[in-house]
Amino acid sequence: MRKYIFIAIQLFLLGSITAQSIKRSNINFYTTSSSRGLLSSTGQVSSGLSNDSTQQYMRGFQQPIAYPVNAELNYNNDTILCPTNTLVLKAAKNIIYKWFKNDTLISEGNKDSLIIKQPGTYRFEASDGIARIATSKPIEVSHVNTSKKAAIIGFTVDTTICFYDTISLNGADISASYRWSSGDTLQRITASKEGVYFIQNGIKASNNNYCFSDTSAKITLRKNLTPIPSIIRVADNLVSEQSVNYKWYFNNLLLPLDSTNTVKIKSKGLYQVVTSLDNFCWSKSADYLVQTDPTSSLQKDFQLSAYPNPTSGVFYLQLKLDRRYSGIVQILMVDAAGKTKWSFNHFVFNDMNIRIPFNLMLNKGIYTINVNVNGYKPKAIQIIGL
Amino acid sequence: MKKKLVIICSACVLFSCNKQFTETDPATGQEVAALTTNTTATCDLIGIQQVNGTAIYNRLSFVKDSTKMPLSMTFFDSVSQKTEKSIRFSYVSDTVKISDTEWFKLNQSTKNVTTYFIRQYYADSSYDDERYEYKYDGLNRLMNKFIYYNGSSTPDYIANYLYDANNNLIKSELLLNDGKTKILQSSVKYDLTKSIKPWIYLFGDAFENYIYLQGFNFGIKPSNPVTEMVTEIYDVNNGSVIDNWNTTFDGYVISKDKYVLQVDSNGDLQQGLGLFIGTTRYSYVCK
Repeated sequence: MRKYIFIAIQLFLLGSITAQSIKRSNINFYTTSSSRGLLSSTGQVSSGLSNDSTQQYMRGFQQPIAYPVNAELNYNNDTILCPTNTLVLKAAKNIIYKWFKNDTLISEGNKDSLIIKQPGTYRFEASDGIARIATSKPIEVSHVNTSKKAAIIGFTVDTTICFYDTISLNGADISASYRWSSGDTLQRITASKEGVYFIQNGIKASNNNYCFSDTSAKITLRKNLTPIPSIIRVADNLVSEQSVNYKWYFNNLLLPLDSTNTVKIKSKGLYQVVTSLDNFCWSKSADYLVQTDPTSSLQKDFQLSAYPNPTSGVFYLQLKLDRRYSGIVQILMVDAAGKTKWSFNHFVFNDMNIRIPFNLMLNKGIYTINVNVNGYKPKAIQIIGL
Repeated sequence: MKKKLVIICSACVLFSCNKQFTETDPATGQEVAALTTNTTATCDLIGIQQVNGTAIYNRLSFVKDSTKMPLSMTFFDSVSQKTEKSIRFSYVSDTVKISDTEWFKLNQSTKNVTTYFIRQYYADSSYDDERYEYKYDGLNRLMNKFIYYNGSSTPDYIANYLYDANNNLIKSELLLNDGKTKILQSSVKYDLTKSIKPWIYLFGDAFENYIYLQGFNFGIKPSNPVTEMVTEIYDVNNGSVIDNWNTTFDGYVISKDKYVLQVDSNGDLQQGLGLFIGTTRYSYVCK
């Protein structure tokens, strides 16, 4: 009889515990084969029991251990990292910690924090050292993409350039923020000091932080101490201010043999000189237009004719040169007695086939017209007045 | 005496002592007729010659195709009595080739010249490559010319053109590359009481290609006869005038259908136009 009473008491106790377990099973949990207590994902301990634990209770009639296994993870919401930055994950106080990256165990022991540099999904499992385990909420850590190199407009490689008083440097990309080597933070800066300049683009990370891209090409600025030269014409030469080094250009082409402050005019056209004190920083003159051809010692031949000849009224002088000419044509008309009838300078603008009208009413007789074109043999032609 | 003079002057006005326009063609002694009786036909300039009475001096002539584009051009010089220039234009796509070192590019729809390229040699056989870019507005008016030397990416010279309400060119200016310094300025005046059919271009700075200028399309042509043209050349260093060319135009012979057949130019040669000196006659083909 006593035996039956003992069995009945045991059945009563078992029924009571099972009912308690079922009552608390509405908590989100999972179990492992070794667990005795159950943890919610927030790390709160619950005391739901697994079958194994039920058996233990049944075997030893032990009370549940109330040690607080805590899976709280402190990361300060800083999950978007600059590639060069680190993040410290700090776990709540526990006994044993297992740290996982992408569900792979990376650390196990008593360290309650993890320093991470790489992106990935991180979590930890904490235990009380006996059987209860809590697992933290996983956090996704990512990197800001800073691989795109910043750029300064006009410069793709490291360059040294010269400047006068100031120079404007302009970041090539639209960015959340800018960081210049000079400490400036605007996209465009005006530099007035020599030095090395580069820019980084700021990309927004978490917690209002910025990550900065790789630096742009480095621009070394050098003050140009060479004054801007001017050109004057002296006879058939062009002369610039004194400097140390000279380069002359004619119609945009370098005159390779001219490296002093004077150049002989080749022809009408546009000239420039660039000068330098240090052979590094060069200063360019404004264009200088030579409008008339230089005096030439060449004595080439040209064709001279007149029509109609004989004439009683208007007639035309016709000159044919072998190249385009700009400058004065000197004309002297004398009568048979050698008396000057007409003398004038005719300006020719870049032409090789020149016709000059003579609006004269010539008296009867023979006239000689002498024509002098720079670089050509003087020529004369006789006109018969009717 | 004074009264008689006034009467004579008045008579001159009434009976066309003024030689601005004549109704008798000096070449034929006949009243000027229409070039064509076909009212739908248009006439296109194909010849310019300097004349003196019946004597013919220089002659420039074009042969054109059915689309009025030049196929060839000849220039005959009266002094040497020979054809000094004879060119056959070859068309490949939008390019009109004159030689290996000289060509035009045309706008395919308007046929306007958009580019002219020429290699100019010096006595020492060095050379400059000159490129001229022509820009037109929506009214088919040549507005700008940009001149580039030796492959420069920025123009070395800039020419601007200004027009009146009739779309007659009234000013050409050639400037340095700063867009301000004047090298040349040419002003043109017209008789706005007379209208004419498309005749010639009057760009006073067309030094680069005046021999082709009247054969190809460079936009709209004046619709009134020119009476005066004044061109000033400036010293770019001090702005003073180096030279000026003053030319008046009169003695117009205009056909009944308003084509200019002849004109007298007096005074200086407008070097930028090159060809128009003395009395010049014009011939057309009508289609």
